[in-house]
Amino acid sequence: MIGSGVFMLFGVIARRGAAGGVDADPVPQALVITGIVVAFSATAMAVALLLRLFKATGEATLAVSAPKDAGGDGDRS
Amino acid sequence: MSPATIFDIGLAVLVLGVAAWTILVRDTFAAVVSFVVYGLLVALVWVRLSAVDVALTEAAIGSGVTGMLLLGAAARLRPAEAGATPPSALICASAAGLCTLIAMGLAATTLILPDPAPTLAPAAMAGLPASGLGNPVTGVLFVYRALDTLLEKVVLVLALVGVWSLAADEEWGGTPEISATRQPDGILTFLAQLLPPVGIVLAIYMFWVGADHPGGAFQGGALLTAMWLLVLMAGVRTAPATGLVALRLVIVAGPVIFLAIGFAGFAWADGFLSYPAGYAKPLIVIAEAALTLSIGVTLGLLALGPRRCMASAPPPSWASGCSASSPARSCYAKFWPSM
Repeated sequence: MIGSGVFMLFGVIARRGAAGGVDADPVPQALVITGIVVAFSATAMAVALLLRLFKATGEATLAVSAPKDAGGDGDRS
Repeated sequence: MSPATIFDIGLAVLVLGVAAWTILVRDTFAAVVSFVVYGLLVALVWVRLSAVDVALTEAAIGSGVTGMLLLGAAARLRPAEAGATPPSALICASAAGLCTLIAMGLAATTLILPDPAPTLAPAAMAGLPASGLGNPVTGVLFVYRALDTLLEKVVLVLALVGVWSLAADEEWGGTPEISATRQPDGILTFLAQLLPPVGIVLAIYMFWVGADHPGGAFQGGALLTAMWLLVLMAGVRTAPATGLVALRLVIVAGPVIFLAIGFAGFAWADGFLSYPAGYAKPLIVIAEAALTLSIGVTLGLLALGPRRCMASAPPPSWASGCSASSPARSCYAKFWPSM
């Protein structure tokens, strides 16, 4: 969710940069499209790690010094 | 105040509300559903920001495929959720305060930008006619910043390799399990037979118009993924084994063809990823065609993970259908028992 907030910041700046016959600056838009795909890749990787941890230990949290709710929050990005 | 302004303000309030609900709600399943709704609302925001390409990507990948991935994970992590304790009020309050401060700071920075804001739009439009493209976003993705786009495809493939590598030894190369209880007369089966032809035509259209209008390889590929996952969820077809050579060839075909076109740039133009005059658009369309299929398959496999249901995990009571004894049922049966 923080990621999508950052993407929207790019979008607002792109919209304010409308010039040259387009409604929004295409460069930040292209960066955001790339960003969405990379964010999805990272999320999929994190979810796979979490599931493997769950399979190995039966818990969705790390044993020591990890917040107890990692299972609830760790699978969102 | 014009109707458009009122709509924008309402949309902003709605997005903030759904975002807050997603973070605050304690139930993982509710949070994931809320996240999907949030993604669709954000796609509307992108339309209002005149960024239709991004809106399509956000709706398909940011909301749809990610939602699917998180739903699967939430289903399997449900037993771990029971023991989780909420963080203390102090931590919640400080996190909320910090986030609000940062958001206010960023908003203020955006508001004090000079008018017009610094922009690369005129430069991007100036170079566009030489490429033969009509959509400046595709121009940035495949001409000016083609290396970023190429590396992004490689990131997708690497992520898939990573996800597969996390499979247990006995699952390596196996078939991702997703199939729900097959109901030949069910609504899901009906949709899985009705929608894919329409979806595939739309995906090809989206990739094809991407050169001149909003659309492109990402959006078309994500639509293919959605159709594929729908067919798999309905149990009309089963997923291919991840060890299949043909499947792996499809996955790498897009990046490899794009890379080959990039290297050919040394021979027929100025260097890596440069296109010969007059042939830029056909080459970009060829690269996009290969990428659309590769992206579609890779996204789908990323959402499926190495194995949908893990036979050797201690089977919790609700997930007894996921055990090796009855592999036909799915984790999704818990959430949608009617399927």
